[in-house]
Amino acid sequence: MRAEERSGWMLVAPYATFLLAFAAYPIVFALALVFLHWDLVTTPTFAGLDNIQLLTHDTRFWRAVGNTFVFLAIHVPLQIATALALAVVLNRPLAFRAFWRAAFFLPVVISGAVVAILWNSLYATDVGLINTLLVRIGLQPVPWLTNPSTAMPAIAVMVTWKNVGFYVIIYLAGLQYIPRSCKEAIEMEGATSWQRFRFLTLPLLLPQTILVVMLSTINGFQLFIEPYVMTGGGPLRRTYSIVLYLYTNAFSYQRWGTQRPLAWHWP
Amino acid sequence: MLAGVTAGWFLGANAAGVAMYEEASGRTFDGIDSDTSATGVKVNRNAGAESTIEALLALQAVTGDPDAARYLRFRPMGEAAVSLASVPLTREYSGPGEARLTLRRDSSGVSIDEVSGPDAPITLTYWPAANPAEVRLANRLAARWNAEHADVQVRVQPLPAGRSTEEVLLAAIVARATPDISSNVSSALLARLVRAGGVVRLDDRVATAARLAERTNSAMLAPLRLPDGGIYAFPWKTNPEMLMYNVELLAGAGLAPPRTQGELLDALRRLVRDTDGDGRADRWGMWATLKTTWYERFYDFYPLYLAGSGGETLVRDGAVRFENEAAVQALELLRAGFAEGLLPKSNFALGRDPFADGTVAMKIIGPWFVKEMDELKVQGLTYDVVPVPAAEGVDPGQRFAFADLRSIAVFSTTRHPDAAARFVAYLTSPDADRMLIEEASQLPYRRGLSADSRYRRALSRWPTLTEYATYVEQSRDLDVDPDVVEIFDVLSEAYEEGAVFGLVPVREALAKAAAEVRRIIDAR
Repeated sequence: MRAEERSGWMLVAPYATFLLAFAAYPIVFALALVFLHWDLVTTPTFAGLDNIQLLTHDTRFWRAVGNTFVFLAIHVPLQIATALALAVVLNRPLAFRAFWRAAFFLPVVISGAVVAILWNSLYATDVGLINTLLVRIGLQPVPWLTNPSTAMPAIAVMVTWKNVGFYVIIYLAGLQYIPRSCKEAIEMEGATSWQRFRFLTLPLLLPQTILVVMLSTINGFQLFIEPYVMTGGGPLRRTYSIVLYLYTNAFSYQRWGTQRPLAWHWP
Repeated sequence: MLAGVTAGWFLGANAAGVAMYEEASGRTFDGIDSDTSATGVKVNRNAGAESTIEALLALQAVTGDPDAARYLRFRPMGEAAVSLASVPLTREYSGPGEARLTLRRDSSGVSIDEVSGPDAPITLTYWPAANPAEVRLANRLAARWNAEHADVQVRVQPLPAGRSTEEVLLAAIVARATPDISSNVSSALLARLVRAGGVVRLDDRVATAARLAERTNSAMLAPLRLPDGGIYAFPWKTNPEMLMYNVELLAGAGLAPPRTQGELLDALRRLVRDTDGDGRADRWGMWATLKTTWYERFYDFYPLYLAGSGGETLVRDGAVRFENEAAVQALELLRAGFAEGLLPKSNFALGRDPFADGTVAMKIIGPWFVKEMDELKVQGLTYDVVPVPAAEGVDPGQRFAFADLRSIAVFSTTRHPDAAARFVAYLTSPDADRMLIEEASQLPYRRGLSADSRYRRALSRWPTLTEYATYVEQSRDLDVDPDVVEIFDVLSEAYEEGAVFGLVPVREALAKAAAEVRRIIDAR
């Protein structure tokens, strides 16, 4: 019994250590930071509720919250629609099906910064591929990333493209689980293919859809690398996300809490 | 080092040749008096609390600094000087092992020659910027130094790759992994490094103080002094910006290079072109980026502002200084440019320079770009530079260029601040400065540079660099303020709202920015 207990602890030890060091400790540490004035370098001092008060009065913070929700409002529905559509198509007998599945999954494993740089070229106003195509069919080029009303949607489309392969896998798994008998039954009733999708596939994929909504929302709240690389939060701070706000305050302004210099008086 | 040699007095390096501090008992004698005996001096062997405490304090300070402590056992050679008048110009010291040290009085203060003994050499780590030209320069200078100084060996390690020098160095401070010396420190970083106690003051160390006196003057140092009057990073090189223009494009439009902001706007109007006839402009006079990353304002608003501000910067002594006509005029010019479609309201593909490929005819840029143009090897592009245009009626003598000054810092984690200061002085010697110009097309922060015959050949190696050199002393850097990055971010917002998108009048945008900057200053 004791030996069994010991081996049990040994088996969980690696993951438990990881969890304590990289999840529990940072969470506790971050909570403590809320109540401190600290710039990482000098000695921290107790701040009480100063930081929270500062945050609630910071218009940039609320702008960042608003922007993040704008991003989610575009990204989440688009993510569901594209992932579902692709999954349905890829679930059919299709030439080179394995190739297509791999191809759509590829962007998921590419680094976010690389994708951002790639799409920066696609979105470039002067010689970008998207605008070149628009001009060829007789339309005006669009300054995708430098127009305040198109920048965030452009980023949302890009993020959707990057992640779609992951959600396609989730939906494909769901599609495999739809019992054959149900399909046969609805076909016997004479349903059209739209009706089959609307009244059979979609309801039975509800658990997967909930998962996709949850994961893409969590992912969306972490929006950072794309605006950081592509727009720096502009134009007019329309792509300034919550994480970018945190990053700028921490690493550009060294504001881990407004801190009063101890040894130095800056006039 | 001088502190160590001086403190040697307590241990016998004095006219009497007697250890005044008795190591066995810890007491210290009162002093050395002149005397009529053969040696001319006599030790006063009274040892009260006063002399003992003073000596212990001094020795404690000196032994606390490894550099100074090394020299505690050095002894002067030759006759002792008993009066100021008989102090020789040169004094040689012998140290442990075979070590020899020679101090020599000269025009810049004291020069030091050292021949080390058999003890292990000091190793210093030096981080230069990671660009190829500066790494090459750093390697060459370090190799030369290492050959000349067996006792202090320098190891060159390019700054670790990261977003910016600032972030890399701050991360290094937090991780306590700073090098002994780093170049490429900007003023934006300096104030924070000092506040964090991360760097060594340099204007009171012998080697760097002498070099500062040789290289600069008080007017050049004044804006770099911190609130306590100290210089905490050695001002190494500067990049005064000028208006670079494509000679053919301007001549083709029948234009002379613009001298005022009015002429600049006129030039923008006459240079905008639609070459492929699709109804959209594809050639412009200039390009001001739409990016709002703080340092992007170094190439549009800030130089245009400094050209007319008479040397006024953004903040000084905790007060906002940019709510003035020069700022209004600079923003109005940009606003007109964007509103009339004279400045492209778009971004260009990455990795493409619109000036180099002739898409834009002018660009506000520093001398480092001269080397880049040289490397791009653009066929048939002739360029020249003029001062950044100021508003109408600004006296040419009052035009200042924006210059991103880069300094060399010695970090307080170093165990050998004096050796590091000596290496800093070596990196900024006349010879090293000449190499900086030749290798990197960059300008040392050195007084009288453009007229100095020692640099004439090096400067003329690069097109337009001689003109850039005339602005070395007529330039303004970033304010040495711990919040300067955020202040530039706030100005970027004014630039977007007031100029790029024209959402609010320029004065209103500036007033809003000024209020925001006041809030930032008040919060600290």
